[in-house]
Amino acid sequence: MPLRALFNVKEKRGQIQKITPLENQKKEDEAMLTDKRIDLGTPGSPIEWIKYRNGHKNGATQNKMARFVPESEIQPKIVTLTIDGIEVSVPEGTSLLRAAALHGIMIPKLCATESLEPFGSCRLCLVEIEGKRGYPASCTTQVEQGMKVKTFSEKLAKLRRNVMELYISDHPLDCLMCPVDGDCELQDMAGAVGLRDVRYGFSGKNHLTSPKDKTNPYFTFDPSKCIVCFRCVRACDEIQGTLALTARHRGFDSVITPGPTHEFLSSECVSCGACVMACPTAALIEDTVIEKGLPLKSTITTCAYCGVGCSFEAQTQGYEVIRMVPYKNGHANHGHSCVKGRFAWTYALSPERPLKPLLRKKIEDPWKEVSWEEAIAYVASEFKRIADKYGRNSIGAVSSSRCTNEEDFLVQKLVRAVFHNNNIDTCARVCHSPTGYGLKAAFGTSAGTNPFDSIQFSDVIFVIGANPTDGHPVFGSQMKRRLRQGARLIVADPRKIDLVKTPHIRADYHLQLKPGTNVALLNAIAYTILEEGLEDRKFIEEKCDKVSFEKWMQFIRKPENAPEAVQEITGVPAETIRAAARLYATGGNAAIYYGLGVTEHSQGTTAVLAIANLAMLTGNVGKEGAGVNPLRGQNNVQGSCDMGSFPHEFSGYRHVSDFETRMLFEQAWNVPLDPEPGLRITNMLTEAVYGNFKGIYVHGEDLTQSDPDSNHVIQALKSMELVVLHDIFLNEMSKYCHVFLPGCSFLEKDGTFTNAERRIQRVRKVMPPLCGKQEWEVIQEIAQAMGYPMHYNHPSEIMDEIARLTPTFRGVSYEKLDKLGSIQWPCNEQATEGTPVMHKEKFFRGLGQFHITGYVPTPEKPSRRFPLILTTGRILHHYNVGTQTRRTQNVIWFKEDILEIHPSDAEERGIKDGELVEVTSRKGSGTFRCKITERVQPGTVYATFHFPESRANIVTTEISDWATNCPEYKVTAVQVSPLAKEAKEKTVAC
Amino acid sequence: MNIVMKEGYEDLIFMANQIGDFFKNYPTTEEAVEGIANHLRKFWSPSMRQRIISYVEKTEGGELAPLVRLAVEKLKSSS
Repeated sequence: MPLRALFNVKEKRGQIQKITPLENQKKEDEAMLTDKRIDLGTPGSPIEWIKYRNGHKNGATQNKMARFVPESEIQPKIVTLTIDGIEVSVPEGTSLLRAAALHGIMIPKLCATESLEPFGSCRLCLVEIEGKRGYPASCTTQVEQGMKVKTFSEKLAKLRRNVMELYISDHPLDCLMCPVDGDCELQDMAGAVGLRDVRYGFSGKNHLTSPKDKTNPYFTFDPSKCIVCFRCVRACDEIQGTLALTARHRGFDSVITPGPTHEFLSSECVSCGACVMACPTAALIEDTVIEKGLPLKSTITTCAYCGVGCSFEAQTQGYEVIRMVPYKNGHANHGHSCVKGRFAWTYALSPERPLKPLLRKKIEDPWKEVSWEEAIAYVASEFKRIADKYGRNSIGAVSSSRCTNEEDFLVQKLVRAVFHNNNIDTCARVCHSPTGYGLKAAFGTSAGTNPFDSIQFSDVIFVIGANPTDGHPVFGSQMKRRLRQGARLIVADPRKIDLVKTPHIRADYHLQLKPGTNVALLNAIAYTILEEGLEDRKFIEEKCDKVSFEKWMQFIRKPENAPEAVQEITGVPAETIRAAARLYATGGNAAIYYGLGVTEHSQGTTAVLAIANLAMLTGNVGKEGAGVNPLRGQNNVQGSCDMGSFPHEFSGYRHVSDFETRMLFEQAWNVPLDPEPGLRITNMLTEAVYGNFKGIYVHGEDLTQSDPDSNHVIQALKSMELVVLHDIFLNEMSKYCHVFLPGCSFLEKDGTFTNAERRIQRVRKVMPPLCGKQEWEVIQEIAQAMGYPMHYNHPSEIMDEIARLTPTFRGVSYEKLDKLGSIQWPCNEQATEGTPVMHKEKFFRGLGQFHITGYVPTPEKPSRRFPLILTTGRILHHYNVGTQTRRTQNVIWFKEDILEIHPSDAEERGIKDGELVEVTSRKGSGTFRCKITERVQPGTVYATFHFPESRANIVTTEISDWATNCPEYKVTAVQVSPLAKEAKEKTVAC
Repeated sequence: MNIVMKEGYEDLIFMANQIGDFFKNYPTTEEAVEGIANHLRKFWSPSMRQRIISYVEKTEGGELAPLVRLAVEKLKSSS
């Protein structure tokens, strides 16, 4: 396919040098232009193609009952036609515009772009077709066998020039000063059609003086440069699914506007940037481009926010990042982004970042800047001193799900091989450790089963304890797209999340359960499926362990699991539970997506097991459109767990007591290894309070804000003789640290992240580390200073070691990642390019294992003193404890945490909307801005936890999951009361 | 202050009983006890296991659920 020729055709000024994968590919890739310029005009990805194949030609949003067929089941029909005398063959359903572009024939266009359905409004892409009258738009005309098409003729040229003349007559001619000069499709098309004159002048009615909308902190809308091509409107509709944009007025008066307020900031716009990306002119453009000019270089890397793992082009001038643009060929995001990844990256350049190591002997002392040599020597000598004095088990480390696989692998190696114990844990402990335990026990691997794209084959989507449109927005958009096409939806959540009712989407069933009753609900769904004979016996008999199924069946059939018994516990009417169960079991391919609303409970692991039971019971594992899919909170939760960051297992989830595995590592690392599990974070902290644990290295984590019971954490940290924090900012925890080692943002790192769908993707260094060292180098130097020979020249060598020691990563290398773009593990001899859908032929563990999942109420119960149940969650614009997003302009949307309360609960307490309230639990109290809403039901309140000053983590309890100690952040008995006047004044003053 | 608080056993007792709550629905006592003991072996550090054994030795484990007490006894006999 002459795509290269196509790229070369478009090579011109304004192009960006693209630094993709390996050095040896650089030259080849330098010839490529921005993805914006490599545009085939209409959609063409396999899934889009299947959509065409299935007859959905007029836009996905129009097809409510679309039924998708997997690509593998389709034999594409090839159509042959002639374009400008060249015989071309393309799949049936391809547009003429795309067919021509695929063969190097560029038809002028403006409203068409390959990320959007064809629209046919600009009248530039007109063609002549032999035997047909008129001049049809090539974007909306599909290929036909034997068609003879002319894309250029004198008549077509005249028509196009006339159209361009009209566009230009209402467009400022300030190209040389325009921020997108050289990167403007209108400018390109004016050149392409040979426009030399505008006969109409500029004295008539026009939009040239229309005021700009600069309300959004990240981009500007300049209506004078808008050609009303609707690409922005369609991007908001089709890609993001928010439907925030529209055109006001008609005809010449049409103006694009964000609804309902007509200004971006206060509108329904979620600042995903899809409209900016789609805009062919400078009507919608990033403020950084206006301020600094177009970028000159592009490096493909992976976002460091949530577990979706969006690929981005970090576009730079020198080492200065100008903008982050979602990478069109990103396998997780397909060119889409959210406000965090797209715009909220400026924290990386925050002046608040300490760039030199800090040291103090006592936490009461002031920090002193020291050299890297002094800091590393001190850390190493102190760890050695403490281990000598108190024993080898008195020290340990915590690694981070925000860091790379290579860094996490090194931290656990530091602990096992250099500290000589297994006291290594990771912050995944406090989010998805129950997923690791539950899915390994049921299926054999601690990972989700299906890729994100698989949702395009789902008929039923069951979302439980997750809020994808806020927590995982890019996948949330993909999910909404499928729902608009007609997939059915079950939501189980104490709160009316956006998915329950959003434009063109309404959940079939919202199981608005009481917090803490997931297991009871899931058991009742399973009970119904069995009682009504809706289970998939064939699947169970062929793929599951019969003994465990029989035992489980005896348990689940007990009357206590019947919906009629459970409705009192959950608050969900029995008939609604039954109806949802029927839909899940009989609605076709059914996929479960879940998040921290499942895991962060005292029965988090039990709920994961119950979800796995449901999927096996209905045969919804091992196929497209189905599966059990945890939505991971942080960018590398999956990876940090894969890398052996838990105290009981090596990389690849192999227990430390396993002799063969341990021997493998002992030989590779040339050191004896401990066969016993080490301490989890919570155990380390408890042992510290008892005086048995004295030194800790914490990588990219704030234990005081992320772990339960802050007072206990602080007491533990104060009890230690060495607390080392390796992070990009001083945080709440650093108040109790002896050494601060400055870290790197994702823009300064080489490595890999693994997203929620097991997809390993490269993180590429965009700028040199501001502190002088990448984090893997620092970990290595600590090991060396402690006398262990750890020598890597590049993170790729660490990945090579991971591959040698980890069966599921056996076939992974940087070279292959660069070649393929990403790899979903397992990647080995059996699956050389990775495994998108797991457990297809059989479960990873052999036979799927059913588990008995008795409902055990949480010990945290409401009382007269604490009558409400508090549950927590995150919002679109902020990320976890806010360390990053609080340092960006995202605070313009939310500058403080909010507490949602039902109108009846608010009225009972004399609370008014928007005022500050005090939330008190048995553990402590915090202050929140109150929002009165019926999103929550009476008796339940919901709070965000992004701002330390609200003290959400002081309020939550120390109760944790029975199997993994994942904290129960989702259930806390509280009282809410108006804040006393003096306290309110103090809070406002703060 | 009783021995539970004095020697800091309360966390371990709470966690062990939580584990017991999961396994109590297993069909037989043997399976439940084995499940609990196995969980403690696989996920608790030796020092934690030793402390819970020490608690049972010193107090007969009165604050542990019966199944959990049996599991700790099993753990003790196999350690």
